Amino acid sequence: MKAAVRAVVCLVVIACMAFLWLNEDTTTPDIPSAPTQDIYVADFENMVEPEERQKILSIGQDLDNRFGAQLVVVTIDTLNEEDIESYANRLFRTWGIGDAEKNNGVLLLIAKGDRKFRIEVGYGLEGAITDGYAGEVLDGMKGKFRSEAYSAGIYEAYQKLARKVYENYGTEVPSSVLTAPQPAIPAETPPVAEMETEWWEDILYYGISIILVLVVAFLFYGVIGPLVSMAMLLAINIFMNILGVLLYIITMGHLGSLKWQSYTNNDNDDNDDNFWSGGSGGSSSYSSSDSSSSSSSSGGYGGGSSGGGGSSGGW
Amino acid sequence: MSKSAGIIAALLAIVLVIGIGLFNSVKSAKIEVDAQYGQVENQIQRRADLIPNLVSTVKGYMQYEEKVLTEVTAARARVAGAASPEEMAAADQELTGALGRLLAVAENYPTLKSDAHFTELMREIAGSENRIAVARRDYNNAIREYNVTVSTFPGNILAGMMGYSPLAPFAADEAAHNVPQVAF
Repeated sequence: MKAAVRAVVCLVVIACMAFLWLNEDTTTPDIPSAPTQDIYVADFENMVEPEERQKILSIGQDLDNRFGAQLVVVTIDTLNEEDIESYANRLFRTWGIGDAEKNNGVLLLIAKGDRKFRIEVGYGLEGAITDGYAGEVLDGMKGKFRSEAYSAGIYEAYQKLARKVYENYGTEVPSSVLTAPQPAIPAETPPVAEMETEWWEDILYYGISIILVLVVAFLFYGVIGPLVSMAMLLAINIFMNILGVLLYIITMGHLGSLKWQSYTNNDNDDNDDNFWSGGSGGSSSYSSSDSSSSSSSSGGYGGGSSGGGGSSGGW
Repeated sequence: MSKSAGIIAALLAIVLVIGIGLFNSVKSAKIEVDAQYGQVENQIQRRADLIPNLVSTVKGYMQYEEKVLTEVTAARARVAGAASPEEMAAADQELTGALGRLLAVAENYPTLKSDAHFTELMREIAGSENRIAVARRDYNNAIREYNVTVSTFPGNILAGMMGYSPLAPFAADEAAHNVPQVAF
């Protein structure tokens, strides 16, 4: 009898956890995986010459260091019959170009085989790089591309876009961006130290929390027996949930938008709401929801998003 | 006696914990849907706000095309007056159609097509339409997730109690939407 009850309880718990884990889906077909270095030029079609590549990289690095803005060039072969608008948006969001809070990414996507290009602008820079301006930049590129001066065209477009980003943040535009022929100047200002946790810190926290949970579980199991210990653990779980509800009430519903450094570190915006939804999973639900979104941080991109602003064209 | 009481307490605790988790997931799915709809509305509004400017620019070039222009203006007014998602979708589609006809007529006016202001406006409108498409896709994705949450076990039990029922996706279909390409 006792064994049967225990088995039923176990089954219920397992079923609950299964429900939580089954809710994940990661579908991103045919988007190339994000580069881990030289993230400002993902030149899969080798359209950019080494010299221009270096210049673009140094401008991109400077923008990233100063404002967290990420201006990224991507060249691909073909869109596989897809709209360049929707492809660019998917790639933008999958890679997470720009800062997750400021959404200040810009993507210059070129599909060489289809002879199409697009500038996709993140929410945060839509005011600086208007659709009209993006269209002008593309018009300038069109002429260069028609004479197959791909590298020069891309570099010129990159400079034009970078200029607007500098202006947007009220900074004087560096001379390397204004005039073309100049050696690449490495960024002088050191990166602003931000309160961001490193990847190893995440692992450290997870490790500590797992060990802690195991120790507590073993203590309980050894001292007061399996059934009561489970009840105790559940009681703790409930207590945490009630605490969460209280916090939610105290913050008048702003809990989801508060910054939780160690948990929502590199999370996408979409995942923020899920923080409290997995109450019955205990500490394990945190790690499972975080590991699914860690792909955005691995490439050095900030996790920014875009709402489809920008302009498209072809040559 | 105390053993069985403990078991009952444990089971109750499990139910309570699951209930809280479920409530949160249903609620947050609904909040997400509402937020995404706000985005759709914003973007549709944004495009509609470009219309008066466009009309006044175009008027100088084509005096004899009053009909197309009134159509566009009327469609814009309907967007502004839309109250429900269905009305909004219909009005937005009407505006898309009217703009398409305006563009077709504009083909006959080379001076208009080379006007810098017109070019800029058409780019803004094309960008706006793409934003609408993105917002609509996000909205429909949010609705799909919400519908899965409220119509599958165990979410459907709680959704029933909370009075939440599945929603219909935003009406305008993807095929009807085509971003006008501005070519020069």
